[in-house]
Amino acid sequence: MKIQALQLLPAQYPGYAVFYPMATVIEVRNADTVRITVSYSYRGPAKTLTLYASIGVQAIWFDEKVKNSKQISLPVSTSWVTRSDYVDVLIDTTKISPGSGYDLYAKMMEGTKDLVISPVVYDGITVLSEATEFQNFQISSWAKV
Amino acid sequence: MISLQAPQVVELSIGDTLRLVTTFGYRGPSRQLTLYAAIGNQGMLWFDEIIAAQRTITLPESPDDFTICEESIDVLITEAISPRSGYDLMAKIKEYPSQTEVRVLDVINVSGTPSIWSGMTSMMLMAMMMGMMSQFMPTEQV
Repeated sequence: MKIQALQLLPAQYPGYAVFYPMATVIEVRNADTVRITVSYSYRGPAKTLTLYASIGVQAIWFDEKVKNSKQISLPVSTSWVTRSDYVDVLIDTTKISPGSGYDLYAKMMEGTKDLVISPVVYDGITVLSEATEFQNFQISSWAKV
Repeated sequence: MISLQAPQVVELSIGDTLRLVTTFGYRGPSRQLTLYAAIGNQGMLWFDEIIAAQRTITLPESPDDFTICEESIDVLITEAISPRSGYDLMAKIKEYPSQTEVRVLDVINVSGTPSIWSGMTSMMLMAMMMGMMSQFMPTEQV
């Protein structure tokens, strides 16, 4: 299982999606959505599994900042079938602070048990600041008009 | 060498308008905020406002770098302010006072009577109107 593609669904332009090649950094803002698409091969009985993805910081363990999951129904298959599915992760700056160098990963779960985990994509996400900041505010002139 | 220049003092009369120009760097999303200005007296603890004005300004989207903005606001001099010299100015973005509130001290003098120019303008206007009206008045033919 690996992360195959990343898309940005900007909050400012609903209905639009921006595709990013892997190994590029996606710049996101609060309320944007990152669509994480994974590819994997499956063989086995029909099952409903959980596709889970998270954006955070890989340290000794993965410090998850924002995450999401969804149910995936897999049909019975006696031979290996390559599939791809996606999960949308909402950027919420109350949980993920503006900054660069965020990492991401995805995994497939059965109940609470991890079945397969993707390699971590490092430095894939930058969260831009939405803060309102002023600098050198001054009264520069005043005159009668 | 550092040279210091005394701030410009403006002489105003009742009925005049003072235009303040503010400049600042802005970083953030596009927003509509309130530019607020007042003439008054800087006290020990707070600014005692006598005349104030405000207007809505639209700040540009500037997510990464600071954008230099220049915004002005007009303050009408009314009879609420007593004739005196040495008034102070204050300006701020109303929603972000801690980041923006600034004062300039001892730069406004107010005299009690309307300025000679505003008085003359009114008189000239009146004279022009009377002149125009007289052209349309019926005249008796002898």
